Amino acid sequence: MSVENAPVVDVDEAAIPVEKKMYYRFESNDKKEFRVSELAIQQSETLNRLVEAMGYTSEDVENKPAIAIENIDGKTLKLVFQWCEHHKGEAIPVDDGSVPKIVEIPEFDAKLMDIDNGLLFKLIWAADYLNIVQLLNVSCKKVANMAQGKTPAQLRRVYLLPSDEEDEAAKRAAQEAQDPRAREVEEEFEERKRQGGNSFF
Amino acid sequence: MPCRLPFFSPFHSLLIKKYKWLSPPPSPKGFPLLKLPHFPLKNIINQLELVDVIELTLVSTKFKNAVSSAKYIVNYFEILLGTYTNRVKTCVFERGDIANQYFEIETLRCNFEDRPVWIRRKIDGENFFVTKTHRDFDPERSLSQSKSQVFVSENQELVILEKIVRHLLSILDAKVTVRITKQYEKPKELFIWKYIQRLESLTIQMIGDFDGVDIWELPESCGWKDFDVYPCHIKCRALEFQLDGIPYQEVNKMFKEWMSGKLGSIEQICYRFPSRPDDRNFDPIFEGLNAVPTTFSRSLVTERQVYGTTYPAPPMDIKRATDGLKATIIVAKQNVAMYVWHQKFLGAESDEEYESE
Repeated sequence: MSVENAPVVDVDEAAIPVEKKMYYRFESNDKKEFRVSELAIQQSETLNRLVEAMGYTSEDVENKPAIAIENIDGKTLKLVFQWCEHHKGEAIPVDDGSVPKIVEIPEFDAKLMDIDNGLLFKLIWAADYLNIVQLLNVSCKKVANMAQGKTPAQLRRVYLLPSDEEDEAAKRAAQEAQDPRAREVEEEFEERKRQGGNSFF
Repeated sequence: MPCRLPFFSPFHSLLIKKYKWLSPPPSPKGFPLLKLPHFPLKNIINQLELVDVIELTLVSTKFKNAVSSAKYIVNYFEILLGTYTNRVKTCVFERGDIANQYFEIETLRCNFEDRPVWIRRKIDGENFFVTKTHRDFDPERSLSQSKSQVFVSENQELVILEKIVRHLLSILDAKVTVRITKQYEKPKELFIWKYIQRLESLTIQMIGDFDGVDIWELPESCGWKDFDVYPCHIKCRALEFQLDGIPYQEVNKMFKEWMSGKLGSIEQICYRFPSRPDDRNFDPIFEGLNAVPTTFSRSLVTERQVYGTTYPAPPMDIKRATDGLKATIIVAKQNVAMYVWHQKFLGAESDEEYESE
């Protein structure tokens, strides 16, 4: 995809200072390209270190291929960079390892995360991979909020937690779906083990 | 509108398939929590209510494994081994959005194998997670209420308690406080010593079980018999003995253990009611310790929650050669205590002169 056609994350033009700023180019695993400001990149420890290590100049950014982020798709990456652009320049919370974090979800973040659970899962995964501490905190908070006022039975459904019985049933179903000959061998083996035989052969 | 086909039409199943292709089944609405990486998972699990976490770990091994890896942090975890009750008490103090939570699990006469604990969930400002608590409740009535309960002998209770503790400590990030209020024949064989690395505080309290009884009228048999029955190499921060009639020589023996470099993590040792109040000869406590009058200020000493302002004997300092640590021994009316001065307890006024009475 050419740079001209790349989906560019919306940037508030008024907020951009007069001096020339550097915009890095990133490519998702489905070949979508994004241009992200240097300041926004600082929200991600992983990307910040990456661009620092690469030592790109403005010319390099335009001439060299976009930096590929292999593990994240375009839809998720767009959300991530939208978040980074909106929160650029903000102080990055120090991760002292304490849990749970005291987190309030700002209005912009709440709107951004008004997405289906599959995309929310990918967003958390991406925030963890790119080490964006505050995005990780708010997205985890969003998931934790799903538990409010729920009984444990409801929580199992919300968080897709299989009970041991369900797990056992799924295992049995998987076994039944196996090749019948392999199942016969397995049953024979189990039978011999029950009878106390030391060796199958 | 498509015309209705006869049921046995060869195109019927094809139409159904086509319908299915046109509108694929919606993806599950739940959130796949267990597929998250470690740190987000830990973050989310620690924002759930403790009672929910424990309940879910009892029904889902996969969730239990996840919590075992992530660990749920609790502020207080106490195991009580007593004459009248064997129980686990755990608390989460207010943090983030989680309000204070407190609940107890008692092991009495419920079957941990069949159903781990009999859970009664009560939301009334606070969350409780309890089993039936009293020995005097009607077993027949309770059985009819919950067929999953099977009553066990008193000896079996410790086995059940051990299972509960093992389960909880596998999922919780907790320092353990142990209170023993019963004379066991073989205390060294108690399961609690398996968790010695996580032990923060140990209280051996034979007197507390006799509410309303004048402690000086207790028979000799309920008091101290042999100090060596309890492991003394434990790594806890606080040791407390509430035993009737510990000889001062035994108190001295423990202080000498500390002087020799043992009990490295200990911050305080306290003996309550060690001897009879009329016993005014305190020399056996200090024998061979090279104790000198304390140099720590009164305010510093009282910060360590030393009760009372007048002591029958002046506070004395001892210093051990192994690491240069100092400790102050205080003899009060009803207790003898030793406070170790780790660096964290020493403020700016660390070496002020103690204002003697």
